[in-house]
Amino acid sequence: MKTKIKSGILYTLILLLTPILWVGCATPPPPKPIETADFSRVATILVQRLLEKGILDKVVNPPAKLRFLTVVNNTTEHMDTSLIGNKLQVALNESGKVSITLNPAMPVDYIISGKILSTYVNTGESRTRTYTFQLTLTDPQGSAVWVGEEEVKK
Amino acid sequence: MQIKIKNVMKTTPYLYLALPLVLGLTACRSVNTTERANPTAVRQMVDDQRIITDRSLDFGARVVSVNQANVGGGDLVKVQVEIQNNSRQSKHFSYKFEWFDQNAMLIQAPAPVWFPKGIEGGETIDISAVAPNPQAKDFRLKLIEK
Repeated sequence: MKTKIKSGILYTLILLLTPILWVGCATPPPPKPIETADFSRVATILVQRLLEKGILDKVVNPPAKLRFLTVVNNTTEHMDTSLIGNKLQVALNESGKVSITLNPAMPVDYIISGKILSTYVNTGESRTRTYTFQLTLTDPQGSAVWVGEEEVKK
Repeated sequence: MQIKIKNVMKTTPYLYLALPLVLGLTACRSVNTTERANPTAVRQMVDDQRIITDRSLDFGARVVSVNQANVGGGDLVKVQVEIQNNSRQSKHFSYKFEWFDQNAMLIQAPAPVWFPKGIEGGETIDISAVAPNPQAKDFRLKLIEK
């Protein structure tokens, strides 16, 4: 009879602990890839921060003449950076505060450039990739007048 | 001996019930907050009207107040919304600001975007947005549970 009771308790414990052990031993899923929606969010936030500062309003003859350089991908992943580049340009253009020129010979008030970096952390319990988007506004002399940064965790 | 068996049989269902309860309680935590009793900043409050279709979301992410300021060159509206979680559980939601011009027409470019956000139990947070251009005069904030 004692054996039956003991095995009853044992089975109960096994039943209770098994799901916990499964969760504990499960391999964490890989991070999700970056999406177009992330680019939209980042572009919206960074342009909002730039507009909020009022730097573009300080030019002598508004709207500010801007040259847009490419967004550089410094991650190990393939990424079409023209997607975020276009979203940044649309948001800047729609603000009415800038005039983006494509002519490299034309003098401008500011030059804007972007960079994407990433770090990967595997704690065993979770795997996270953090993308850092940096946007820099420089004057023609090369001084950075504004730097914006936004992170996306995946 | 029979009594012992009965006891084990009686306790087993309770153990099954207790486990999720214990696990559930560990997920329950809330934020304590301290701030200046008489804030030095002056808020320009905005009168708002609300349409509540999700009571659970309204409890876990309730709009407390809306204030605004003019930013940039002074011609852009910035809106800040205070959100409070009245529950003890963390809440995940997404929010989106839509902007309208002086004719109440929706500004479509740049397209309004959903932003994911998390709020701990009892926590108060602020979400904000800057108008996409000086033509944007009014806003609409949408919240949805994630």
